[in-house]
Amino acid sequence: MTMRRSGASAPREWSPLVRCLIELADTPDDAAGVETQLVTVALLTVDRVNAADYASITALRGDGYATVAASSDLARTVDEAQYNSDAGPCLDSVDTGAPIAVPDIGSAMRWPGFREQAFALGLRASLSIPLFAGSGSTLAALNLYGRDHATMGALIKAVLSVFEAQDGNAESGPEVLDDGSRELVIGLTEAHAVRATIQRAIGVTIARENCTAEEGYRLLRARAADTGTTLSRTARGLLAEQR
Amino acid sequence: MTDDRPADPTAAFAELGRIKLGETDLGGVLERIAALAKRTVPGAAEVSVTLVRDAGVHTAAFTGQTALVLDEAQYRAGYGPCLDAAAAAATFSLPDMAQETRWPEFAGRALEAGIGSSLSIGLPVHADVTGALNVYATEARALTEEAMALAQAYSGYAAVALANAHLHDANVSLAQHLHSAMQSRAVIEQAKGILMGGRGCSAEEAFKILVKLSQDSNRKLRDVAAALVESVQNSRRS
Repeated sequence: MTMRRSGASAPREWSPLVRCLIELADTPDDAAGVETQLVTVALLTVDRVNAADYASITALRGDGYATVAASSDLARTVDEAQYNSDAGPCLDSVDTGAPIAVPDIGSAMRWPGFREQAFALGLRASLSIPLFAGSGSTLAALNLYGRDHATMGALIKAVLSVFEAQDGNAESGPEVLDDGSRELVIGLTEAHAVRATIQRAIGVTIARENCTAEEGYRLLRARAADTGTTLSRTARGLLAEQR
Repeated sequence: MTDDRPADPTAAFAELGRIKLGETDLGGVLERIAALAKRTVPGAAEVSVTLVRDAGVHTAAFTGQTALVLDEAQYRAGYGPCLDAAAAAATFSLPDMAQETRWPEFAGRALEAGIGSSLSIGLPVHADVTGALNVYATEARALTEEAMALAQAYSGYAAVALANAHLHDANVSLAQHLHSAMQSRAVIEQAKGILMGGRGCSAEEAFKILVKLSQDSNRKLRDVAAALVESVQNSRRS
């Protein structure tokens, strides 16, 4: 398939991981491609990010959580230990929409089920990152599992700073990160920028139509579908009309 | 498990050293500490660990019913050596329950339960969770200086386990703080959009307006943004 031009001005040289994270943020939640995008994000992450020895995606499915993508059975096993004990960082990340970092799995006493299984499998640090599609609501969590404290520690710092930064314009310390980790950080930063653009356009729509944020999102989505373009491009057009 | 092995403090501390990286939760660590202290502290009949949190006080680990009963009597009374030790992070020795004048009510209960002396060692934790390691002996003057030093070493392990667990709690509250930041960011962006639409300004200018509104009204930025979104989306219905 051809890669659609996404929300932020996507330079052609951006890596597939960056492009995929941006594209996900710019895709309506109920679009057919979302599931494939989640799988792609997990596989590209484990492929590119040195710190992540294993990766998976946790999503809400019906009444419970499910692993919709996993780089290996090991990642799936650690996810399932969390579902079985109904507690763990990947669940918390989906529930709260916040990144949950476990820099030292050995001292993660809050989640005995997760801790025991992950530690026994040789994992020492983990990071669960909330992912979102066009509506901006948390859709899933990207779980990174690592055998090495140090490399995961640097990545954890960089990812948390993306989430802490105002307006999603984080400047991390890329010199300490490997290429793949940098791609992940850039991808998350750009995805947040796409979300900010879409939310602003929802604000414009709220003011114009005196509607709720949910209705504003649906109107924006319909307009994007009518014109055969992306949410963020539609949002940028709407925002440009205001000037 | 290993409870029938000879009481060797060095081996016990080596085991605790491994537990720190091991496969059990905070309660499990504290139970192991209590069990090892009971076996290795000379004179110890029962050992327990008291934890004091905002939500209340409870015995997190104990080696026998007597320790639990005596701890809980103190919690109900609202005072006693283990509570004072936890509050002051200090060590209190009650060498002879029959002569005890500082906590007479507790001493009377202890004697009834067959306890002649006790030690309570406050855990050196600087956090909103404190606690104490309690050692109960059947005879008066059964707990020597050596016993006290050993018990203090165990309390250090308990404090480390507690600090680890607390560190983790702190991480989780950080995440929750981030969560509210995430939610408010969407609302702030929506509010910017409303201002951009209404005033034809840029996102940066809209943000400055929100900041000024926030300062002038002495309200948080996200509250100002949420109020703006709320008022606009409801104006049709009102």
